[in-house]
Amino acid sequence: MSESLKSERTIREYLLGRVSDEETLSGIEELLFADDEFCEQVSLTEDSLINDYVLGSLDDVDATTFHSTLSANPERLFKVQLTQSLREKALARAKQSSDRPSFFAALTAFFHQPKYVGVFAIVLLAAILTVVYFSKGRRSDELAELRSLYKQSRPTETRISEFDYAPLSQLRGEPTGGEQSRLRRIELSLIESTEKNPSAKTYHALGIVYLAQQQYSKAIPYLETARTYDDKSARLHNDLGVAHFELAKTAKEKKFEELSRSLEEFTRAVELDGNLLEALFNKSLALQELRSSQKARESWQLYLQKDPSSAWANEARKNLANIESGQTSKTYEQTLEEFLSAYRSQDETHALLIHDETKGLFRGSAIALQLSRKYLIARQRGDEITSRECLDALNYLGRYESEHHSEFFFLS
Amino acid sequence: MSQLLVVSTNFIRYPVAENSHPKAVRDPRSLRHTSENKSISREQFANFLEWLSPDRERAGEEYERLRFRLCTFFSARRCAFADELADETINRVILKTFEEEVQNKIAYCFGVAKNVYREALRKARPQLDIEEVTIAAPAPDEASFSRDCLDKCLSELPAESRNLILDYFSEAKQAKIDLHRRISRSLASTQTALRMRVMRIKQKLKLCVQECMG
Repeated sequence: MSESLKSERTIREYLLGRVSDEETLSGIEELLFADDEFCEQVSLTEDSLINDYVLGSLDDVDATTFHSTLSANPERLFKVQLTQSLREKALARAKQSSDRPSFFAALTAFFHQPKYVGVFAIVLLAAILTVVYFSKGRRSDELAELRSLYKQSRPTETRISEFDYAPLSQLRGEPTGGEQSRLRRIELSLIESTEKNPSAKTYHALGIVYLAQQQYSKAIPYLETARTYDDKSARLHNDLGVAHFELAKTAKEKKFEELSRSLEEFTRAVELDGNLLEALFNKSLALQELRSSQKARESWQLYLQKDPSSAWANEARKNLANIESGQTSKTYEQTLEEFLSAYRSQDETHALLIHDETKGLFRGSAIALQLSRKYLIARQRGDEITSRECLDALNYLGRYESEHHSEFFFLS
Repeated sequence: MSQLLVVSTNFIRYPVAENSHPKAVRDPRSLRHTSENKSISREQFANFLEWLSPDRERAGEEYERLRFRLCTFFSARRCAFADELADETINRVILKTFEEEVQNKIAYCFGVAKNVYREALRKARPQLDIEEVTIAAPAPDEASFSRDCLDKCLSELPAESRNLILDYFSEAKQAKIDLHRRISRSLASTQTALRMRVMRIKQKLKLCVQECMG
């Protein structure tokens, strides 16, 4: 509940005076006075509303509602007037610079004077020779070139650090001949860099090249080596997480192990930099893949608070919608079967995730409750095998809870 | 009986309360009167700031934040005179802080605000027949914004902040979205961090302009 109170949408509605439900209103007010961070968030949202109002980005209904709040709130009105004045100044300044003679016109005038042409030619030649001399063996911006190859479609579902948005294409296929040679050249250049100048940066860059080419097993050693140089790089942890996540898709037996590794890395990245959107996005994906629906939902919502409007945000919303629809359609029996399947194959990570997801509910879907019910039914029918399995699973959960959470309820 | 609405300056409407002059300006930094007509001295106000925080600069920030919380609270509750109610709340807190020990200051202010809100709901503002109102002087211009003060305050900003804020407001709609993305990229920061930065600059400008306007 408190997460939805903190959502950008709820805060906007609150500031527009459109929250009439007393419980919600009181909840927001409690947070406003008790939580400095929330107060800051409200302040930021109000500022955004003001900016949108002044820049004409609000729709008619919102603009009218916002305007109606100004008469009772002179502080807000003053802020609107300040913003309007800033806007006028900004436009006036922009107009001034566009009225000045263009660079092209100035350049043309310059080249009409012959004496300057000769000097310019000499300077240009010297500059070209300098660039050629220093570019041999110099690591140019390989990563920028690599990113440019993936502008139309991205190679991975997860976000590689600093790659711009592009849709995930399932039909990408092999790179073209031209792309292949560029990729090869980038790869060789970075291999040379890691040999001549081994550092977190060079190893990280080479790891990214392999990530982009979907060679995840090859990427991981380089990224791990980079991590030995710099364990505090959020982007590095993020990209390592990407490698494990993508590897999980093809690793049948170790799928959940790889997903868990990826979640660890994304979580570490977020701890190091809470505003690294790539890591937040990827963490939400990992939680979703691990079927931790509640945590995935919260993570997506947090992501959308920080990035409400980009193309990535649209994907985030789709994922959130998938979680919502997936949750309502899964039956209690399906949840129990999934747990038992993981339990039988000794996939502890998956089994405990399902248990964690449902234990707080203590109604229908809670695994412990379902196991108890199943045990009783099996005993009544004389089904020793099923009743034995249910009892063992309950003991297993009881031991887990007592060891990890000092919770003895499940043992009783 | 005709409608209310007495003196109007720009978009602000002021009530004609029994004991107040129509030109009364609710400047939070001026001397105050509570609704029971108890006066608040400058010394009491200074002590109140120190009560908020012993650090002077932080006290100013806490005060601004408190005022924002209170104005937002009353405004979202659709009170007609949010700033006056915020001032009333602060006045009462000022008087009470010297009578009793308060552990959680902001929570205390919130409690007082809720009382003020309930009282405001009970009280009906007096409405006058428009025929009975004699406007002796032109309405105060306190709601108009001084562009000269804004120029002065902009010139006092560091060049980087000044350019950032003017760049931020120089484009419209879709071009704005692209521009903000470019600015945040060039500053190696996220869009949220950019919005925070813009908000901080505007907060500084607001305080500067208000001080300049007097």
